[in-house]
Amino acid sequence: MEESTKIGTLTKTQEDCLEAILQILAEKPVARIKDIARKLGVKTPSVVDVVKRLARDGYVKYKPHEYITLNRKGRNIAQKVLARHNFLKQFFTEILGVDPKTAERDACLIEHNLSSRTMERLVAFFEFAQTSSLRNDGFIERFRKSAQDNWYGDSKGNSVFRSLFKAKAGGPMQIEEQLISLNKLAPGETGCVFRLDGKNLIRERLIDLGILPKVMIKLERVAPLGDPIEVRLRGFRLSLRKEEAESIKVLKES
Amino acid sequence: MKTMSVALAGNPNSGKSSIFNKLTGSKQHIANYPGVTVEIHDGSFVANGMKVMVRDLPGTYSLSARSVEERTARYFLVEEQPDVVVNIVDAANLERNLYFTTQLMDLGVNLVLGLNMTDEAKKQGLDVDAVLLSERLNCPVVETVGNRGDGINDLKEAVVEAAKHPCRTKPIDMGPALEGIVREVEKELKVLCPGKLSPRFSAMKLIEGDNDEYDIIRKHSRKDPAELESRLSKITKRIQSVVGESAAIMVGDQRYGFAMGLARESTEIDYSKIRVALTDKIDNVLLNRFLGLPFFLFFMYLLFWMTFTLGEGPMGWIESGFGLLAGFTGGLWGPAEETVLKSLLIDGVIGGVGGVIIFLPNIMLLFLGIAFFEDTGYLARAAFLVDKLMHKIGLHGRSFIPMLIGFGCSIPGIMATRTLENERDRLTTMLVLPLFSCGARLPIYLMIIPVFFPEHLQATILWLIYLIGILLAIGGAKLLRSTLLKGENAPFVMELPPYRMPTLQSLAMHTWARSWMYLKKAGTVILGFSIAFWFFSSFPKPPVTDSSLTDNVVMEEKLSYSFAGRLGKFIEPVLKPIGFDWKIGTSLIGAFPAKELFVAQMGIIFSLGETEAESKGLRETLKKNYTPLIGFCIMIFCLISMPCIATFAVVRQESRSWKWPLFQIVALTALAYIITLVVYQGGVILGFA
Repeated sequence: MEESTKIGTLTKTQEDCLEAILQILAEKPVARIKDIARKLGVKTPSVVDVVKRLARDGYVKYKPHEYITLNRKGRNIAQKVLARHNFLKQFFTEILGVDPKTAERDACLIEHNLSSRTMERLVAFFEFAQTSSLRNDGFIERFRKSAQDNWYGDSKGNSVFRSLFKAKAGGPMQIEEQLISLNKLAPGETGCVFRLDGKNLIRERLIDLGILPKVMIKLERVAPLGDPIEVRLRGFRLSLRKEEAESIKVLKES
Repeated sequence: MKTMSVALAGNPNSGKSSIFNKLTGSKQHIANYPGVTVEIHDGSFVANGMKVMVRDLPGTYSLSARSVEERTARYFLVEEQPDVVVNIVDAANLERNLYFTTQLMDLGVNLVLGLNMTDEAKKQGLDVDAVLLSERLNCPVVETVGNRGDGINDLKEAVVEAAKHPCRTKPIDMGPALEGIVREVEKELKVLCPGKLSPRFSAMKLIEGDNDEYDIIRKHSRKDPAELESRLSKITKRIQSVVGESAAIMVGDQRYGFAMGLARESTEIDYSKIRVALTDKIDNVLLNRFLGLPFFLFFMYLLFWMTFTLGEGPMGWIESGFGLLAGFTGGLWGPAEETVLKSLLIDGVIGGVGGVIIFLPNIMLLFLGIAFFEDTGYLARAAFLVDKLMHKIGLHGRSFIPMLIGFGCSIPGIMATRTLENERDRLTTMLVLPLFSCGARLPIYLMIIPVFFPEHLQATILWLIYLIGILLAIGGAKLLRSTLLKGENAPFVMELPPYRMPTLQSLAMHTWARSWMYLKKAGTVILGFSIAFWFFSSFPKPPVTDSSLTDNVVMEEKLSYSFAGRLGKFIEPVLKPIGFDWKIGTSLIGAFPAKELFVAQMGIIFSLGETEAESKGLRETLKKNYTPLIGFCIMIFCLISMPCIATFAVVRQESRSWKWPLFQIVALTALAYIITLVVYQGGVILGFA
């Protein structure tokens, strides 16, 4: 099993294991190695190793070939982990509106990696969003509506993040290399604005018209004589010269 | 009755003018503000016992100091502080429109939002919740369909109501990074200009790096200059250290963040209606890589065909009309009677003015065509198509429109250069505009061409003259932009509005506004100068003549005796190298007030009472006295040489100086002389004499 970031003194796998045991114990009086293995989706030998280690550290009571139960220490941890997991899943489904399957998967992925500070804030936000006055205001509904896809009536919708994540893995440097000028897009291509270089007068004019980082902008066509170009953004059509578009750096959407 | 003031503000293409027209009807006029080159329309209406003065501010995307329109709008909002501001927003384009709204909110104006063009938005599947908008913005929102007049009465009531119960909007929060510094600067400004400007708005402008704002603050501050300056520089340093270079982007982000959020929240999208918009379908053809230019040329051809061909009929009627008028006036005296008054009326007034009015149908048709292109949105596409060419000669795609109008009459054409932001672009366009042969020169061509050129060549020669004008204008523009008026080009960033069907009302208003300028010229300048020229060519009269001489010779004597004739003779030596004699010279002098007068003067000089181009007598006389080469040279000279006095006046007004119109006259006359010289002498050498 892989090594992962540690929260507290236990590894991710150890925590997963404890959590699994807790879940099994909710239905049966004792947990067996094969139950844990099935729940975690791994082979029994690896489970044995983990359980032995947990027993040695005092989290579980392990009687080889017989049963496994949680000690108080183990139960505490397991409950915490399970609570986190459930909370995150609930957050994803109830607040963000993500479907349950994805929520479950993602909750598993990040439940071990969040610091308690962030967790606290997430919980606080969750509770805040559930306060009655906001609920009456339709806070969640308003958020859901604003998060809808296809805002500009085309199929691309919220592609800002698609763009960002599709960019080749790596840090800012990699993205920098992939940036091109707006005028280098081919007709029909869309890009996400990253930066506005260029002199103040033009820059400010562009900002007034809504060309800002994170905006999706599409190059619609080039004039017959080769210049200017027509672009689409925020639901309207804008024409500008290639030399003006030169200073707008975008990440092409693939 | 109590009065209140309202300002209409909003993006271009938001339908603001339609709403203004519907609100004020015929009770509107163009405000006269010294130093303001943008047209401000003022009007009024009465509602619920209140007289409401409405001012239509120029359409702007923002209230910065970057263009004349923005500065003007800002000036009126900040300094004149209307009781209510009506912000017209395009329901189909909420996001961008609300960005502008956030700036009004900074100003803390008493806001009423006009949610316009909701019909078009619905067609595109966008249903905006006006109630929600109203809640979030904390101001009344009225739904309107400007060109149909829907919601206008509701708007009137809302405006009056807002004056009674003001609703000051609150500025949007600038986010954790900026809000702190904004409030700091606000506090400082409250100390500097207590109770005068909107501290929030000023603070935002300073942070955005708007340089004009410093001057505005200085203007309004009561503090002594030293303290003022030191405080201002402290503010600047503070802003720099907190925000630095990225201020504009940070602020823009916050504003658009708000606008986008609000737009999304309040718009219900009906996905079944989402399809390729009609505008896009049309643009796929009209802006097509291969079809775009041919279509453009076709439309231009159509425009001119409409102007010249369709205008023929009405032209004929007016011609006959004036003929009848002349005949009738003449009949008031005896047939052989020759009084000063009779001559004044028939030759001076009717002849002169008639020569101008006769072209009114053509001019009106041209303006109608241009208004149609404008209102449908095609003109923006035209600028888009030709910008590359314009850019090459140092101009702007938008210079194209004034030039097009200039083919009708230079006056509205020059006034149309107001849409050019860059002062150098404006001046260049203004200066070369007269080279786009205006309607006034047409009578000259139509008089000369049939006389000297065979039928199959006539149309070609006419086009040749126009073409020469265009080529000279292009060359001139290029030259000016690389020498005297060198400098940066204005950005071409321009919105392409959706295609719209123009209303008859707006077409009529646009056409009439420009045609009226042409007519006014006729009624005033031309009339005045026709009379003056008539005087100068009639007096002094020579002593009693020998009755044995023929009429023609008598007339010629009379003419050479008069002021005008003497002046013509005086400059004859200069004219000889270009093939002109004193008669042509005198007519040219007489044509200075208005080009159309050239024909009239020639007519007078050749001692004929008739001045119409159709007149056989004049034609034959011309043919007898001059060659085709000279005829061509006359046309060239008239094409290029100094524009009429009305043009001079307008250029002076629009350029706010004397040097430019003077420069224009001198340069064009010199150019005319040189080119005519080359053509004439060249023609002589080549054996055309």
